[in-house]
Amino acid sequence: MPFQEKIAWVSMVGIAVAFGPYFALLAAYSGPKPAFPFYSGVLLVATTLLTIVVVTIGSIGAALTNLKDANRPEDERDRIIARRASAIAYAVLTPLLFFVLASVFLGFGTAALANAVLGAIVLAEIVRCATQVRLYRKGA
Amino acid sequence: MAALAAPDGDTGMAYREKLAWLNLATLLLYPIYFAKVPASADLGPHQILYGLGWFAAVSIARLVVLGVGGLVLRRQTRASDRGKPDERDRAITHRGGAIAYGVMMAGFIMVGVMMPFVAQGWKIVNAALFAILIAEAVRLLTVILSYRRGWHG
Repeated sequence: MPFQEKIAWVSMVGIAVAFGPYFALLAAYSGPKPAFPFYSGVLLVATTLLTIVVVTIGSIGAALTNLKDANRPEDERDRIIARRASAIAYAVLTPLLFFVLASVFLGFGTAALANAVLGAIVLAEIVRCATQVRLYRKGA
Repeated sequence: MAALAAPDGDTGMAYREKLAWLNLATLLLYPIYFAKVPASADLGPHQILYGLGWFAAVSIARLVVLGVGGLVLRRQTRASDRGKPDERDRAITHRGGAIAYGVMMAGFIMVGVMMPFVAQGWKIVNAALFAILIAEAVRLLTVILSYRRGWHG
């Protein structure tokens, strides 16, 4: 497996492992008076740190499995795959922004807007990483 | 100049570059929306309908201009020049999308994560729409510049 594909896997798993429980907790504890901003703020910082830790450890592990491949500079194929994945993520992110704007019109408030945006970013990043993995698997 | 004045309407420009120019030009319709729906407006029920109405009107006008302009470009371009996108066209499209993704991400973080704590209502909505416009403009400009500079991926 190419190093860039391993990194895409690690990023996807890291984001899912950290932000899955974050959104599950938010959904479970969202009542008429949600505890935003303080508790959600702490949770968000913890989630971001967890993502960084998981992705960093995963990346180090991926590099250690094949140091030669990890040191290889990005080639043309890596760049093409990265661009294609970002372009697809862009196509996902744009309509999501319109859904996020709907939360403003529906009067969901500051916390909901911030979390909706965060959700859109997380989803777009997962799509980007998943597309990278799929393209490497397909041998694009 | 000779290319611009060619009798068959051929400007020496790639078909997809012409489409990108047309798309970019139609983005200039959106300042009408921003002029009509100021960020200072509050989000009462009437203002929501008013703002959405203007956004819909400008978007429909844009689609009409894109449709008519697209038809004119199609008639002016030889069938062989407007075939399926080739490898270069696809590479340029992906490059535009990839760069716009970064711009959109930055705009999203500004609008959705930072702005809710200092602004409300139409200010957020208009900032979000402005972020989309900027990202689209960057995407189209990247496509145009890539064709202009003969970028091959």
